[in-house]
Amino acid sequence: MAVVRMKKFRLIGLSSEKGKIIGRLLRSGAAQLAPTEETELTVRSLDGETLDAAASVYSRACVALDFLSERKKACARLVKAGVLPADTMAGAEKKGLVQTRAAVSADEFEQVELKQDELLSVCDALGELAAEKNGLKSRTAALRSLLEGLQPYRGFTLKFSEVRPTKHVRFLLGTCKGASALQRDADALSEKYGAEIQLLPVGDGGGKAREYLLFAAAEKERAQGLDSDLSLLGFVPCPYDFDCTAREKIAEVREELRSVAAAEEELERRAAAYFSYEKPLRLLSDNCRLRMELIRADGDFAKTAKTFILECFVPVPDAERVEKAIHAATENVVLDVRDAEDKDCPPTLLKNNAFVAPYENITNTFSPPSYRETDPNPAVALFYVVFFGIMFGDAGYGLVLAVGSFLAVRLLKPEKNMRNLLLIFGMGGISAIIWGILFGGVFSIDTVPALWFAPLSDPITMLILCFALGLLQIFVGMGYQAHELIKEGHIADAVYDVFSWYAIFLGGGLAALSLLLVPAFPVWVGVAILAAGFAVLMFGGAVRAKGVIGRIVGAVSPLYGIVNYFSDVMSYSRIFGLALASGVIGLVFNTLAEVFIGLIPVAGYILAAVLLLVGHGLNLAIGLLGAYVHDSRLQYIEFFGRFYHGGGRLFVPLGSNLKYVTIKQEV
Amino acid sequence: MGYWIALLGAALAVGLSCVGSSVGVGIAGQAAAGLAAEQPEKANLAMLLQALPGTQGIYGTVVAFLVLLRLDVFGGLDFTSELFTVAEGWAVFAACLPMAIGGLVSGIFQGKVAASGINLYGRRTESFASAMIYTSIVEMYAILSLVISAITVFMM
Repeated sequence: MAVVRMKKFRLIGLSSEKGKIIGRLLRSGAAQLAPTEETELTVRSLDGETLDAAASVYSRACVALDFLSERKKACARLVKAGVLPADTMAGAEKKGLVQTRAAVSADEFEQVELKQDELLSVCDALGELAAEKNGLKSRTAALRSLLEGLQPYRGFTLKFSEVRPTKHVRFLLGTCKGASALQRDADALSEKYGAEIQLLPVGDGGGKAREYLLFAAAEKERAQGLDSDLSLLGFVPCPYDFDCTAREKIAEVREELRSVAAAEEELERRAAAYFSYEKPLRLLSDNCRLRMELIRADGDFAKTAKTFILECFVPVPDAERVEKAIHAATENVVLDVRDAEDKDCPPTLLKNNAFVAPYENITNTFSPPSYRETDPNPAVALFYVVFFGIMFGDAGYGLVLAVGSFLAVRLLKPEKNMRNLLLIFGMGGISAIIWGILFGGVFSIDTVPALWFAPLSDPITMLILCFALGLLQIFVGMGYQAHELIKEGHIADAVYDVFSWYAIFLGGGLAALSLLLVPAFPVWVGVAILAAGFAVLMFGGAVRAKGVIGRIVGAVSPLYGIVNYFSDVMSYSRIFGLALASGVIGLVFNTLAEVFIGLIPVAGYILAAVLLLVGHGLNLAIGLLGAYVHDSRLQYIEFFGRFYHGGGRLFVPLGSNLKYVTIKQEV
Repeated sequence: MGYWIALLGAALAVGLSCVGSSVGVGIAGQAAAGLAAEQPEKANLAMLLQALPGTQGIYGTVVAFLVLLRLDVFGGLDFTSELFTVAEGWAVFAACLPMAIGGLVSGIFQGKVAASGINLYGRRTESFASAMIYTSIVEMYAILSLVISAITVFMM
């Protein structure tokens, strides 16, 4: 239930055995490499050449994988359309609803390097296919645009090549986007130049067609200026020069399009033969990733001609196991194991029980705790789940959420982050069931009795409940703050900054209690505690400042904290706001459904059922988003604001930062 | 008469809040669409950010619905209702104002922050949580408006 302590390993080994030693560390799954300290005798060097080589293999594998995944999608479409037989996809791995990394043994992972040449030739073959595919794609695009361009000329029965000037006559062929007075303008031109101009509407628009085919014939001598006059009308000359009619050409293009499509299908079929290479290519890509990581880490190792120094962090519970594994690998090694200190900047590994662990996601999204900080997750988990439940405040929604989330975890088996999120929702759902029963909320049905009180009829109690829980969380946050201060030896600060406030709140509470509820209890007790709290607070402010004015300011300025506390507590009214919103919106849909049933005899029930399903589904989704965001915010700002610094780096053991696979732990 | 003034208050609460939300969601939606064009894999989470300024409309609906319940609208509109005096009608109207004004303005500004948050998320994937928090900080004020409007209507 805390930040796991780390050991720092410092290991001096022979360069010739470096691979073997790192292989052991990889198999342990519990070592994070760190830059080594320099000594006078050693040098550091980054092996740029091997790094480039690995990077090049990596990028080739990635390109091939991208291409394969596109082909898989295309192929699946063609299989679905019945164009390709179903067994084309036989070599392909099934893709789950959520992406999960396959666990492989370290041996399998390392041995893919032996197949590197074969796999690279597969990459080359896929590269050729990709080039071919691109060629076909651009050919299709060109043919399509040609087809489109030919459409206006369908009604023109001469071959394009026949439209040539004779000795005395010029011919003009082209298209014209039709203005309304096109025919009149054309008539005017034909009179002006003594030309014959024919307009033929394109398409089925008849007289209202937007586009016209224009064919003009004019005597060469008189036709000077006809072109420019026509272009003012929007005339575009025909760009084609084919030795056939438009209809013939269109048929030809269509035929070619069909053959290109066939070629594309054939290409998909050929690409399908490579689907079985996806798995080894993924392995290779991850292998290169790790190789690059290792080469970079190696650049930070101190080295001599024949030896190297490696440093790594290992969690205390794994230290013995890793130590044994290293000694089992070789005898020629000097190993120094010591407790990690703050100046080493050790990474953070959190260890929490099954209830708290999912909430590490929430905290890590803010910032993981630093190595020396206390793990706030137990408190975060407790408050998060309680607030989440109140924000829903509905047992029906809670049940749907809990069942849905836990089923999803069970059936989809998602990876860590997704799984944690689903578990947070699931536990929040259980909490919502409990609060729903207390508040009498079940799908916002207003006749369900409340076990405790109904927020809609007793909003003030609800608001007080939210403020009380908020105050409690702030108190816990201050407790953490005091804990940290005392841990660092600042006991006086803890008294001035934390305990004084505890006294103020306690005294104020007691005084209010005796004034309002229990008159028998003497008021002066509460007031005395309150006054003592303020005294300590102001004394603390004054004693830590310098100079007379400084001390006065120092004594008064902590009082400003009252405003802070007030606004922080107010912020918890959002719990009430969200509960209210989700409760009332549910009520809106219920009311509408009743109205439907009342208005329309039989179909009303069906309409109401659909409305309730969609409406409550929507309300649940909005409520989930709101609860997740606002619950997180309460942790980040109101709670963490009191004590939490974060800024840690999470522990990333060697070999865990891969894209497609995880490596089984073996030693 | 009081009946109609109260109804007008409900109309403003839901109407102005919905305007705020639609402007906000609109601004954020443009940013989200821009991001989705460049990095389609981020489209889903950008949609979450876009949805955040949508809550003002919901809060407005809540307040309006509470007023409609008080007016017993679901039992049928009563054009001659003497349920409220004019003074009571104005009181309901006043109770609706925090939500109407707070919802309108906070919705628009939350949309602007959400749009910037979406840009931030586009450039730095790890900043998604910050973007969400920035956006939700604006929402606080819509929630405060809701709480006051709702409690006042309840209390009446």
